[in-house]
Amino acid sequence: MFFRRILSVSCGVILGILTLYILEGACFRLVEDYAFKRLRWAWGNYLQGSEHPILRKFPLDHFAEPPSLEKKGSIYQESVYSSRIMSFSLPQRDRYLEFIHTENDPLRNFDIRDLQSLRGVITPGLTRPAMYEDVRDGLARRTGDILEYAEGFFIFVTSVSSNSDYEYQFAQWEKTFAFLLNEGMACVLLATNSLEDLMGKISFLKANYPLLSENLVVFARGEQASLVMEACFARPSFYRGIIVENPARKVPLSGEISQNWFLAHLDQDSMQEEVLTTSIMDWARKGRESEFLYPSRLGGLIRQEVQKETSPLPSFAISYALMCKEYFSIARMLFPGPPSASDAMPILPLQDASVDSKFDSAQNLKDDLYKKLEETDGSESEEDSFNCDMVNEYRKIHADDPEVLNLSNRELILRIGQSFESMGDQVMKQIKLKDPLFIRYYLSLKELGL
Amino acid sequence: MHALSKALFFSTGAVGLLTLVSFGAVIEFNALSLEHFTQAMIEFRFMGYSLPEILWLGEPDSIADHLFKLKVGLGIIIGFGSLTLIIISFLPNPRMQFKFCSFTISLPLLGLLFGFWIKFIYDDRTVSREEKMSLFSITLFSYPSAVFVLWYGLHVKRRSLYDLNDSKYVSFQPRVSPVTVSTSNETAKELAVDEAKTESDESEIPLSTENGSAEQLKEPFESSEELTASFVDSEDSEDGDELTLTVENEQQENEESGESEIVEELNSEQSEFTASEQEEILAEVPDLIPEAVGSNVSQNQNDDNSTESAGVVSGNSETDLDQSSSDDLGMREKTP
Repeated sequence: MFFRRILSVSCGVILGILTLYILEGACFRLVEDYAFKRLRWAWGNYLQGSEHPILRKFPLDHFAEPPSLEKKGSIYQESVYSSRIMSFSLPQRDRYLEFIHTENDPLRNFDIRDLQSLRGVITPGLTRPAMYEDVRDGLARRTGDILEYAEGFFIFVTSVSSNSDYEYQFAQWEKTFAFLLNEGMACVLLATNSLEDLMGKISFLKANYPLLSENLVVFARGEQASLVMEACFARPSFYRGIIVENPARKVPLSGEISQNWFLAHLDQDSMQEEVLTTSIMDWARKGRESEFLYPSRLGGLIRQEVQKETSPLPSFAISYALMCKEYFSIARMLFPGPPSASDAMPILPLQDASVDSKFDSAQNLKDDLYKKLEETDGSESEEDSFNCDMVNEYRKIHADDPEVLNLSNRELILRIGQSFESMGDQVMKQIKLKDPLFIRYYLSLKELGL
Repeated sequence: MHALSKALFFSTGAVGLLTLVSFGAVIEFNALSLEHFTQAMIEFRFMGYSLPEILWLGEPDSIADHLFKLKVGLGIIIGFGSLTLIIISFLPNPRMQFKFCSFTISLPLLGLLFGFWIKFIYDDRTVSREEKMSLFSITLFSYPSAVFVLWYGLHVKRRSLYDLNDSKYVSFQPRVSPVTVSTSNETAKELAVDEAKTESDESEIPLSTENGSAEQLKEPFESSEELTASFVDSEDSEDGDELTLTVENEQQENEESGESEIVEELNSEQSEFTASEQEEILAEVPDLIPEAVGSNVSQNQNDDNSTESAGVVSGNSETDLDQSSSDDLGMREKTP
């Protein structure tokens, strides 16, 4: 009888504890407000983020340790880590998918307009009265004027061949845009095929609409993803978040301290490419190099596609973009924006400066790229800058040649590229297929006249 | 009853094992086409999870792997359930069998429910509103059921009044002790006081001969109302020719309050007496009731012949006697 009583009491206690545990977990999994609240409890506020000393003792997802920097080759670990650390976003992702499947005519309440070369910008319609700082910065004529702003700006970079193609893609993205607009983010479908065009448009946006484009989050797939990464490499301070899906090629890392968040979505095919995954992992780890808690955990993530979703943008990416916007809208003073873009040009009148600004931005891009190349030459070792398969192979073949040993990667790329170019376009095409990064390096260096 | 429940548990367990064996043989020798069944099992999804995933057997890689995991999972469940039922059938009494059965049902049910919730919480999957609703419905139904079944399985019955007398069941032996004859209530009281001095734990059942109350004793009480009525009748009558079987000194002084307490206790005790307990007692002592009542009545009849009123003093306490009365009621209600 005594044993039975003990059994009954212990069963009751275990059942009670388990019930509480499940109840808490269910709230975290299903209730969006509670999930974000628990994140705040665990990490503190955005500005002074610090792990909660008591909650730290519980095995919560918020305290998952990022994969160590020394450990190479484990992209799956990165994927598991990103799933755990972003677990608080699951209710939000549910809501997004629900919105996608239920909403009809989602953009009826939002303003769609063309901003010069930027076609079809949708703004959330947020306004606020101008303050003294706005007048001082040239954003308004006097205090109290109504200013339009957005908490973030989401850009989907795509390659579009025709007008009908653009319309079709826009229709596909309407619901996703509507969801982001409801969260205070302006959106645009940006069609581009070149780095200069992309950077020109983004520079124009940053220069002329700083209140809209303060927190830029850019998403792209494939070739466009590589373009976005290169644009970020050139001017990282323009962007708050970079989300890429299966980038076509690897892009070198910037030497600067990373300020922007980086998320890579990879499918099984992309994960098989070792060179690409290594590069992506470097980007992600670089993104997490921060003295602040939030960026040190969320700054760089890699996501392996687990569940095939019907939405145009993966729900994980949506949550990441929103979290990025949320963080930078509060912690922006920790990360000062680019001084050149807004300071170099007068904001008023807005419309007249477009052509000049575009030219200026292209010139700035060139200068920035030149500076960056100089910096990478100075800061990084010879092996790290302009490193590609073609150069490595060439060095292996001519390992005994002292002349080749003395040449830098940049000089080697120029030499080899000129010799390939002299052989004809056919050879260049074959080389491009084999090592696209080499061709890109060569064309960039050739363009800059280095 | 015990044999019936034993047969029920044993045969269910045996049928389960046979089903398992026959299914194994059918699949092994391809005797029957189970395409629809296997197709349905493979296609079954709950919130995006397949059956092997729900049973924590891992995500199947291929259809063959899926089928293998299904075979293993369902085989383990059916085999374990059947063996448990067979083991249950060997337990000594139906009450224990049902309790153990409910305990063994509740544990896997709770385990499955909690396991699924933990999987769902820690899994990186999005769910739709419909899936959330179905999960909510299933939890709402299965969690209280599992907790109730577990409670029933582990519930230790609170000791009732008759357990205090160090005997599990009420003794049905006739408690007729030396008969004392008195001519009035006062005499009976005096006798009872004397007896109470010698035996501290005495009980009383005042019984009047008026209105044929002694005759009523020959017949078993059909319900507590009848007994209550007989009590009230006997207490209300203040005639001297009253037949009192047992008298307790304190209760006799305060008759009204004593009556109400007895009635309340009778009613409350009757509700605590469960059907299974009654059946157990009946199974163990099937012939005692008529004998006990008969002997008691015959004793009273003898007394009736010799004296005007008689006081029968038993050696049991008041509560015990009350309990025995209520138990008698319970017995008689179930007596065929």
